[in-house]
Amino acid sequence: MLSSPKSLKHYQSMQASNLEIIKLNNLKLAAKIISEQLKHGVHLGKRVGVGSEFEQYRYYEPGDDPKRIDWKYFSRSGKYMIKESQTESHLHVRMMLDLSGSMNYEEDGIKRLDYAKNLIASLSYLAHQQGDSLTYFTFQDGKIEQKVSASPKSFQRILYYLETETAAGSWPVMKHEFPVLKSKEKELIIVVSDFLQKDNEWLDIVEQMRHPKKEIVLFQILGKQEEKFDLKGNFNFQDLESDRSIILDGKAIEKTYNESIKNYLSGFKQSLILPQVHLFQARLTDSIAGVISQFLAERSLS
Amino acid sequence: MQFLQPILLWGLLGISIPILIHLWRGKKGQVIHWAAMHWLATQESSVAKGFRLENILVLLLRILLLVLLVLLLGQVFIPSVSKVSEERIIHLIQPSNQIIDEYKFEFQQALEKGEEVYWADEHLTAIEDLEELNPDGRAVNFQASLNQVPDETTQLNLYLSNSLNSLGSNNYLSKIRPRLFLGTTDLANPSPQIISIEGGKTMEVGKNGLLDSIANDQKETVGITLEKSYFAYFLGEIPSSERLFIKASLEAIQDVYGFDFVEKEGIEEAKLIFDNELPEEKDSEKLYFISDTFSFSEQSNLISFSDQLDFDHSELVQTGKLPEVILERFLAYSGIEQQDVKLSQTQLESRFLVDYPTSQNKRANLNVILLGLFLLCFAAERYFANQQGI
Repeated sequence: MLSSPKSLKHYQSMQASNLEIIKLNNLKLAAKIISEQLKHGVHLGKRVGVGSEFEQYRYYEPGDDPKRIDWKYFSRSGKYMIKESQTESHLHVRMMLDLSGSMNYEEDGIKRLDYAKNLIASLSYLAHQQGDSLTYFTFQDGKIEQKVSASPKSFQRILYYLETETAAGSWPVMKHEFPVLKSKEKELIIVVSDFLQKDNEWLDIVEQMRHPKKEIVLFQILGKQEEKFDLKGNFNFQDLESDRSIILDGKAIEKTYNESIKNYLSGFKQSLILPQVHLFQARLTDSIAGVISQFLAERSLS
Repeated sequence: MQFLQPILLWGLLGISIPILIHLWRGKKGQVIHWAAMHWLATQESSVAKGFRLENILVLLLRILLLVLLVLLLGQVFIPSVSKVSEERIIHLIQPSNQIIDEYKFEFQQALEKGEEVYWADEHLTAIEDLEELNPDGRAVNFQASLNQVPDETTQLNLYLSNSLNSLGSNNYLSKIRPRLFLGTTDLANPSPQIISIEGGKTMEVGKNGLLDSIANDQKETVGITLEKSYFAYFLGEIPSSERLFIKASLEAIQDVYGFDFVEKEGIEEAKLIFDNELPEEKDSEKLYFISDTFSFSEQSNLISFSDQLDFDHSELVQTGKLPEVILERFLAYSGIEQQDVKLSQTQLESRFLVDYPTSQNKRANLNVILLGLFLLCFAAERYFANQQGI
C-alpha cells in the first residue's frame, strides 16, 4: 500500500491537483494527501496537556502549575515531576453532505460530488487526528439521514459511506421541520452543498440549526460556468434534478444569467451573515487543501 | 482546366453535406448538464435565429476536402502544365501515283519542315526523299499503318484517294482524328447497271452506289433481268426464332425494293437457301446462307454466319443490318458489281473512328498535388475537429 512513509513523502512532494486527487478514487489516501499539503512547512507538535491517558513524566519547571505536580511520585522519589498526557479535544463535529441531483454537476472532469466527498474526507481526517468525535448526515429527497453516529471508528465508517454515495433527486421547496437539527449540544456543523436553492430551503435549514453553542460552517461548491457563464454556441441545458431540458443560445443568455446568479449568490451570502455561521464559497478548480486551510485560518482567528 | 471525368463534378453537390451537418449541429446545441436551471431565463427562447454556422474553420476545411476529392476523382488536368514537348505532325500517304502527283508540293514542304512522312502500308515505311516516291509494289493497309503511328502524334494528315473500293468497307481505328486529304479519283464508270424484275419493275445502281428504282423503260440499256425463280427461298432446319428474323429481313427488302421473295417447300426449287449446316451437295446456281456455323468459305455462293441469327446471339440482327447483308450478297450473286464511287467528306470521316489511348498519356497531371493537398486538409481537419471536440 501507499501508506509507507517513503511513498507518502513522494506524494507530498507533488502538489496534487483536484483532478488527480479525485482520480485516485481513494478517499483515505486523498484525505492524507490533503492534510499533508496543509501541514506543508508547518511542523505541528502534539498538543500536550492534561488528559486522562498518561503519556510521560517530566521535571517541574518554574512556571508550571504546582497543582500538576505528582505528589505520590514525590513521596516515593523526592522529585518534583509532572504527569503529562495528550490533550483531548471535546469537540463534536457533524458532517453533512447534500446528495441532491445538482451535486452531479461536472466541469472539466471534476464532479461536484467528488469534490465534496474529498473535502469531507479530508476534514474528517483532520478531526479524527485531533480526536474529535464525528457524525455524518446526508440530505436527500427531503430527508436528513444520520448514517454514522459518534464512535471511535466513525472516521472509517464515514469513509465507507462516502465511497458508495451517489447523488440523485431534488430537494423539496416546502419548509420542513427536522428535529435532528435542533440539538443544543456544543458542536461544529459542516455542511457541503451547492446551495442553489429555488426558494429559501437552505436558509430554513440553517435557521433551524442555529444555536449559540453551535458553530455552523457552510461550504458552497460551484463550477466556473455556474458562477459566470461564458460559453458560445447553442446549448441543450438538461436539468440534473428533473427531466426538463431547454435549448438556449449561450451568448443570448449569458448576460441575464450572469446577472441573476450574481444577485442570488451575493444575496445568499448577505443572508448568512449571522453569528456562528460561516460561508465558504469554493470553485471546483480551487484546491481542496487551499479551501480547508482558509477555513482553518478563519476558525483559529475567531 | 479540364476534367477527364466531368460527370463526377456532380459530386460537388456533396458540399452541402458538411454545411447541413454544421447547421444542424448548431441548431441542436451541445448537451450540458446543468444544476442552476432556476436562473436560466427560460421565457425568451433564444435559440440562434436564422443560419449560424459553428466552427467555420472546420466547415471550410471539410468543404475543401470534398472539393479536392471531387477534383481528384474527376481527374482534373491543366493542358498548359503538361505541355506536349513539341508538335509532331505525321503524314500518311496512300501508295498511289495520283496522290503523289496531286500532293507533291505538300510532301515537299512537310519534308522541309522536318515532319515525318510515311507510306500507309503494313510497315509504316518512312519517306526521306521525294525522289524515292515510288508507290509501286506497296500495298495499302490503313489499319496497320494507323496502329503504328506513335502515341505522341499531335496531328495526323492522311492522304488518300476518294474511292470506296480503295477504302474498303471497314471502319478504321485511329489514335487521333486524322485530317483527310482526298485525291480526286477518276472513277471508271461503266454503263449504269440496271436490274429489271419480272413484273415490270426496273432498278438502277446509281452514281452514289445506291440501288434506286427508276421509271420504266426510259432508255434501252442492257441490264440484268431477274426472273421470278431468283426470289424463291428455302428455309432449312433452323430454329423458329431465326426463321422469324430471316423472314422479317426478306420482307423488309421486299417493302423497299419490291423483290417478291417466295418461300418454297423443296430445296431444289429455291435459289436462296437458309440453313444451319453446310449442304451436302452444293449447287453453284444457288446462294447459301449458313448460320450458327463457323467456317471460311471459298465459294462465292456460300455465306456463313458464326452466330445463330436471332436477337440474342447475332449482332447483325441487333443492329438491324441483316437485310442489308442479305441484299448485298444477293445483288452480288445476281451479277451486279459494286461500283467504285466517291464518298463524301463526312462519310469518309465517319470511317475513321478515334480511339483515344485511354487517357493514359493525357493523365491528370495534378493528381500528386491534389492528393498532397487532400491529405494536408484531412490532417488539419482532424486536428481542429479534435481540438474543438467535434
